[in-house]
Amino acid sequence: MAAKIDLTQIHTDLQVAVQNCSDRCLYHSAKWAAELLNALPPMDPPSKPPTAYPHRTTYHQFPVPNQRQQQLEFAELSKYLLAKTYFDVREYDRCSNVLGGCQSSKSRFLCLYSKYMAGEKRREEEMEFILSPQDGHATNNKEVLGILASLENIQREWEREGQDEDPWILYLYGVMLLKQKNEVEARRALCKSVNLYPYHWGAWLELATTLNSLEDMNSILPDLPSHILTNIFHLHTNQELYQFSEKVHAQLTEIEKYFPRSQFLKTQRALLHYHGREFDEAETIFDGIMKEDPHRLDALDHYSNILYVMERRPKLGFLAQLATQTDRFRPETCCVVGNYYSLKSEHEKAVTYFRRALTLDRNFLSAWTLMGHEYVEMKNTHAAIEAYRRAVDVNRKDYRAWYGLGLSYEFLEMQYYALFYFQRAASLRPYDPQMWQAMGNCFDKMNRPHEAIKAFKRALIGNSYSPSTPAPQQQQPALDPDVLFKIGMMYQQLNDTKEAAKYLELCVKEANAAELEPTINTSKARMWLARWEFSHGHYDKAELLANELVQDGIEIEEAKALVRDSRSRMAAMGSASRRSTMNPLE
Amino acid sequence: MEQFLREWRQDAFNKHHYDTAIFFGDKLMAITGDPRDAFWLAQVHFSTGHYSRAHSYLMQQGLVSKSSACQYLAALCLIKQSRYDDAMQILGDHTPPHLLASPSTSQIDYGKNTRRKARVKIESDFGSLGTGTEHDEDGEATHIKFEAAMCYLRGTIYCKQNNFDRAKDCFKDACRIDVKCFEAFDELMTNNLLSPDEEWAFLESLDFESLDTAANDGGKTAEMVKLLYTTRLSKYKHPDRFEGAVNALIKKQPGLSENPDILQSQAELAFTQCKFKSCHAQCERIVALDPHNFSIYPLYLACLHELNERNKLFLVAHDMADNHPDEPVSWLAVGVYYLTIGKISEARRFFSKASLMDPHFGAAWIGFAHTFAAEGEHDQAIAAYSTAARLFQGTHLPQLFLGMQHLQLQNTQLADEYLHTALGICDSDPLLLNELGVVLYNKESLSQAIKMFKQALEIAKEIDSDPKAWVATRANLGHAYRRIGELDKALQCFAEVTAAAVKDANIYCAIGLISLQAGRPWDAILALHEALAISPQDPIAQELLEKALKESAGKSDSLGLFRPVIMGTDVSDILIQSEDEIERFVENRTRPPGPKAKARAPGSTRTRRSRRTLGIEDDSLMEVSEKEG
Repeated sequence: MAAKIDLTQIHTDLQVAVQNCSDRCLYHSAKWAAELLNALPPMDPPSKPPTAYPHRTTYHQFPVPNQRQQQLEFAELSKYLLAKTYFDVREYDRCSNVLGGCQSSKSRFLCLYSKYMAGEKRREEEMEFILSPQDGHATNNKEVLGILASLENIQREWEREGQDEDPWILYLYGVMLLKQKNEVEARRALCKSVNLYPYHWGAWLELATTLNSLEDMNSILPDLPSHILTNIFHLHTNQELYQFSEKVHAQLTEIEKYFPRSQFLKTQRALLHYHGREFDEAETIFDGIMKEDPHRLDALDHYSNILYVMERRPKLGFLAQLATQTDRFRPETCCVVGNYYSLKSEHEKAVTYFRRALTLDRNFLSAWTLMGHEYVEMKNTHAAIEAYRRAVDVNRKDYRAWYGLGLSYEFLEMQYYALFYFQRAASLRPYDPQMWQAMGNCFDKMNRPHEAIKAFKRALIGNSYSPSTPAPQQQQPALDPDVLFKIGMMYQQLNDTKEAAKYLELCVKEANAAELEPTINTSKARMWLARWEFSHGHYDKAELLANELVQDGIEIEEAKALVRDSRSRMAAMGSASRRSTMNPLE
Repeated sequence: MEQFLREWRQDAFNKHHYDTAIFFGDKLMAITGDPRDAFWLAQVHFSTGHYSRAHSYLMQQGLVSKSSACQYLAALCLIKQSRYDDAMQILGDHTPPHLLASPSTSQIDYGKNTRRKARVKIESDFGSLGTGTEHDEDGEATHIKFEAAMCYLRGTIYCKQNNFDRAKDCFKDACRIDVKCFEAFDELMTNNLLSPDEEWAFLESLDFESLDTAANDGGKTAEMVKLLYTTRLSKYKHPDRFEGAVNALIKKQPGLSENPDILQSQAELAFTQCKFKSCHAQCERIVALDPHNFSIYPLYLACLHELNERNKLFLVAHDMADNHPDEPVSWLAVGVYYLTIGKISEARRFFSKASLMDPHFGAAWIGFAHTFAAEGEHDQAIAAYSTAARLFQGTHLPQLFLGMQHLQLQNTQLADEYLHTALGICDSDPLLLNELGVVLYNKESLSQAIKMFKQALEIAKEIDSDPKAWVATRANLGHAYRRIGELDKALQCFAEVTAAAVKDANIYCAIGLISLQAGRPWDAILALHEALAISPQDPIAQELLEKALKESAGKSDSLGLFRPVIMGTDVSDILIQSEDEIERFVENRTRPPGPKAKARAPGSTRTRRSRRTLGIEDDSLMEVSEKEG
């Protein structure tokens, strides 16, 4: 992609980008660009005297606005400055009002953007508390339609007058279209925007939300500019789509060469490990980030998830304290604290914190999903469903929420619903056996053994498709005996005893190989196999299996009876053969 | 001395010193006994509001038969006292036919009639009282003026008696007799007594040239008056001509560009075209220029209602009710406010108050009817709309609302009739066409319904209206397409509706249903999820979703549930998991040597293509040398 990378150029461009983003009150993009700027290796001191340092001279616009725009901006400068101060103190309506009739693209952008922000503010106020009837779809941002109309007018004007397109306006257009769930058009607009100005990370992020699968991503890659930012976007999207193969890691390494100190990239690395269930590596990376930048709260919610899965309670507690000291009213902080309480099984308190996170930012994905999990723990299935639903509304790529939805509906015995959600989850993580297993169970309950078998077989495959280095502390058997048992049972339902026997045998074998404690399933498998062998006249095998069962101490009576039967049959057979001329398989 | 007293009386009258005027007028009359002085005395009495006194003076002097001015004043006095029949007796219930002939011939007529001549003489005396000069032709004009005014009075009486057809004729006559009788013209226009076509024909029939002779400026005045009149017409037909008139007016008289009446006519046009926002802006301008311009308020209120500007309505209603409690429109404002915030019974109370204050206030009647319609009281709503329809003959709205009510009552036939009446008045209202389409849809004539909906959409596009105006029609079109089985077109319609940011569960339900019909249960499920997100308890959506889920589960493979999945990060990295491969994988696992290897099913001799074996023990990426077709 990015053919040649000129670090000095990137350095300058990023400086300009920070300025450009803050000019438009896109604070997060500005922050991101500034972080990336500081992640560059230290530049050589300027050879020229400081007056000629690029800092000053490059504070012009990029791409250099045409003369018309410059003139307009100059004419509207005082108005724009006033409006910007209003925006900075969050007087959005006032800001858009000041910029009412302005003509320059910059002022127009700020005018419409502040209008949007005002609408969002009102919308959140109208939504009342989290999960209230007003929350969610019932309340819309009432400004969006008007803004869309204005944006379309501006674009028509460009066309009419043959003016250059403005990347920021296109970005806003894309965001509005996304609000309208018009993904196709939004993707087009955002693609244009990033092509015109690749240093606006916000546009890339919005573009990423329009991509639901790898196919989607591959389809737009040719339309993207050849640029280092495109590489970062590609990597980020891979991460979002739960890709963690060597290739992605290599891609990340490649980018890290240019930005060796980027914490954003380190976080990405940690997340890649997390998706691959390599928790130790992820933890190490996050530890490093914490050391370098102790007040960084971004993505700490993921860190707390990792610690949660690893059940590192003290460390999670420490993290919660640390985050609270930095800023107790950041959604990330609330999620960390919520996770801590959840680990302590104080689910009500956890929910309180997740709710707080959502009050601070309703689009904070983690909190919705985690809150769903808490509600599941609290056996409040309907609330859980609602929370998960909101989670997938915010981001359709969250397989945990889809999976949670499936489980909740399964709990409510609404198999058809559950199946659909498991399907969605599985399509996001096709290599994750959990999803396929859940789907198989669903098909089983729906009395559709054929599909169930297919799903379970997929689960088998997924199990072995694990990351390059499996986590050492949970050395799973290569094939899950439970799944094998399920497949066997399905074949039995289909009266295909041969296949059933095959899978059950495999099940017993895998269990033995992994030296697992006997479980109900493996015991049942043994019992079934014992009977099957018995009915086929293989009494020795039947006896062997039954004896194993007796040793395991499960269903002893039945097993003992089978042992007795087998022995008597074998004895009978022995005497019969001595007497000769009797069919052994009678 | 008499002259001195006359001047004193006149001076006092102009200053509204009525007591002085009465005192000296009375003395003057006692001295002179002149009928003219009697007339003026009556005039003063009229101005003080002593209608019966004025009337009796006129009757005492027997002036009524002598002068049309006196006749007019007497009739007016009676009307003010609500003695309509008596007034009608004075006026005579028909327009004298000779007046309706062309002006030139009527002038000839006067010459023949000596009695008339005498009357004209007196007339001229009255007419010239102010100026003091006497001129025959002036008298002639004044006489015609009063005849026209009397025609107008006849019209108002018929109006009061709810005889709108005759009232309409009288008003028209008044204008024909004297084009300057704007009262009559205004009465025709503001009450929408004429249908749009009639209005334009009527305007063409008016004799503006007669103004030429008076102004004598080469037709400029006549033209301007005509343009001014044009701006008063209803805005259904010929918006181009209307705009032309406004532009021409402003060009000629730049001072008029900010004139409230001109602005109002522009606002009306915008409203007729469903451009509520621009109409609202115009209304705001007018109200800012002239806050006491009551004529704009019904329009303004309607706009505010359409735009759901509750707070503004609240303020306006309060202002009006505090400052002008005697104006029916104030209470209309209060009613509209309550209607907007959904307090139906309060709204009804205030609409009814407004309509009681002015029984001919059509807007109040329509509002009144709306309150019943909002509560689903169709019969009462129909009664109220009918009243409005009688009052508002020239607008299609009451008929349209009547049609809508009947449609809701499933009286398709009646609805059809009403809507067609409305169509006769206005064939360019997208809402009306939409309703007609619905009627056709209900009658199962789907292709015609589609045509109707399309026409409505075209008009909506033409007048560049807000999306709100056409979204419902687009959805209806979608439904019609669905019914005739054009699923793709239907889906396209609904897609446009959802693109216009309408959060309506029904739309998503429809999309779901169509997707189901088209055999795409997955799409259906997605759409139905949207529907349920908007309205979680929607029973139709729930039922459809259940069905869609079952269907999708029923043919899971067509959904691509087990389809090959891209698992790599790059196009080159595609890993295909086909059924075959999974089988192979499992086979591989079951084969390894072990004590029970021979128990493997012997029949599994599937055809296998040559392939690299899958990585099993090592957990690296599984790769396939050959892609599945």
